[in-house]
This record gives sequence, structure tokens and C-alpha cells, in this order.
Amino acid sequence: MTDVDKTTILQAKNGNLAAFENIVYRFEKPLYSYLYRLCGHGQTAEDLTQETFLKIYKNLKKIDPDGNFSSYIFTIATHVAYDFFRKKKHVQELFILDDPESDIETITEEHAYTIVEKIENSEFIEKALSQLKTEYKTVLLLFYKEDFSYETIAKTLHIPLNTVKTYLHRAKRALKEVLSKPAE
Amino acid sequence: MDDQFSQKIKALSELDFPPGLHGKIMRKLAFLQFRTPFLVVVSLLLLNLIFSGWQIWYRLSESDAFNTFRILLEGAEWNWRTLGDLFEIAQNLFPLGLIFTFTINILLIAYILFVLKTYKTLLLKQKQ
Repeated sequence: MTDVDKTTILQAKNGNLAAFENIVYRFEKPLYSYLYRLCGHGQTAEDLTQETFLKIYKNLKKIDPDGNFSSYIFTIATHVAYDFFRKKKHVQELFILDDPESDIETITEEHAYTIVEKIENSEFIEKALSQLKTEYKTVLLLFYKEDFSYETIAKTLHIPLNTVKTYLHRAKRALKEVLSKPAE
Repeated sequence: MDDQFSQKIKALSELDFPPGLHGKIMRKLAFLQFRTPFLVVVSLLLLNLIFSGWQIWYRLSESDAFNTFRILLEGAEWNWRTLGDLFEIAQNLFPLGLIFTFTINILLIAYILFVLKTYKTLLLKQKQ
């Protein structure tokens, strides 16, 4: 994951809008994709992307140019999205099994084959992701797509480190569960 | 299978970025940049409007300017010289400088509100 160079951040901190535009250029696409995958709605993702950049701009003075800027940006984006979900009571409790006792290993051989087949197709992964609980989507995307560490995810979501690991484990299991279902 | 998952999630391509969104973000940021000076200017204009309005009201009621001017108008013969004299008297009776400032203030505030309304309409249109 390429980060923004320190000079650009410092220039942006000093009120240089052109420097901040470079930051916007660098992050707008991954940020929009991340927010779209979290909320599953184009217009909402657009609004959240705008709000995220406005929030980053307003808090530029607080940014440490030596810190990990990417994780800072995705942390802000996650907070913006979660605030939105809270306000709209949008957190969808979908059909994903949240029972830690339930065992994915009982998936039949036939289902296992379906999973492997579907994993090959990123469209299936996108669809399966969209059906996961928000927290699961968040940890999966932050950990695998954005290369966040367990610690950073824990800080971002304000949850204990072990909960992050549990979420990640359950998220993967839930993803397998969705993928094992026969295609509609 | 876990490795496959992680690889596939990592390899998920970025989605198409909506056309025009970059412009919207930058316009909002530009607006944010001049929001504070804008609020300061509007506050100063409003303060000035209130102060000059109050001053005009105070001076007019103090000098009883309208009554005096009405009396002058009643007995006046209408020619260029009278008009010149009336204008001179009006200059002394009415705080013309303050009235001018007051009018300019109202025009500026109206213009700022018009610009703001137009800008908001533009933003709303872009959102639709």
C-alpha cells in the first residue's frame, strides 16, 4: 500500500489545497470502494466519501506526518461509516450465523467444491461480502485489503484485540457459509 | 482455503469512481476554506448594518428632520435654485453618509445571500 509522502502532508497541513487534492487523488478510489463495500449503496458511498475527506481536511492539524497516513484515512472513513450506520440504524443483521459454536467444518464435500469454484470468481466474493455483517466486512477489508494489523483494527473499531481476531475468524467462516450456498 | 480468501479479498479491484465526485469534494473543500472569512465578513456587515441603522434612526428623531423638511417643502417655490437650497439643507438635516453606508450594507448582504443560495442550488443539483 503506497502512502502519501511527508512533504505533501506537510503542505496540506499548511493550508495548500493543491497538496490536499493530491491526497484526494491518491485515496478517493480505494476509499470509495471500501465505503461502497461497507454500505452497499452508491449514493451513500459518495456522501460518505465526501464526508470523510471533509473530516480529514478539518483535522489536518492533528495529523502526524510521520505516522501511517493510510491507516489514519481508513480509520476516519470507518468512523464516518459507523456514525452513519448508527444514525440510520442501518447495521444489517443478515442471515449470517453468529453462533461461535456452529461448525463450518460440517460443510459437505460438494459444498467445499462450490466454495473453491466461487472463490475463483471475484464477483462471487463481492456478493458474498455484501451479505456479511458490517463488523465482519470491516475486519475482512481492513485486514486483507488494506493491510491493517490486528492492533490498528482494534484501535479503529474501539474493540479489544481478541475480539478482532474472533471477528476475523467468524467473518471468514461466514464468508465460506455464504459461498457454500448454491447460486441463485 | 484461508490463503485463497485473503488473496482474493486483497485482489478485489477498486470500483469505478463516480464521475464528478472528485469535483464535488474539491468544491466543498474550497468552500470550507473561505467559510471562516465569509462568516467574519457577514458578521461585520450585520454589525455595521445594525449600528448605522440605529445611528440614522437616532439622528433623524433627534433633529426632527422629517418635520423640518416637510415645512420647508410646503412653502417652497419650485425652481432650480430652490432645489439646490433644499439639497444643501437636506445634507445638513439628514445623515447622508450613514444612509449611504446603510444602503450599501443592505445591498452587500443581499448579494452575499444570493451567491450563497445559488451555490447551494448548484450543490443540490450535483447531488441529484
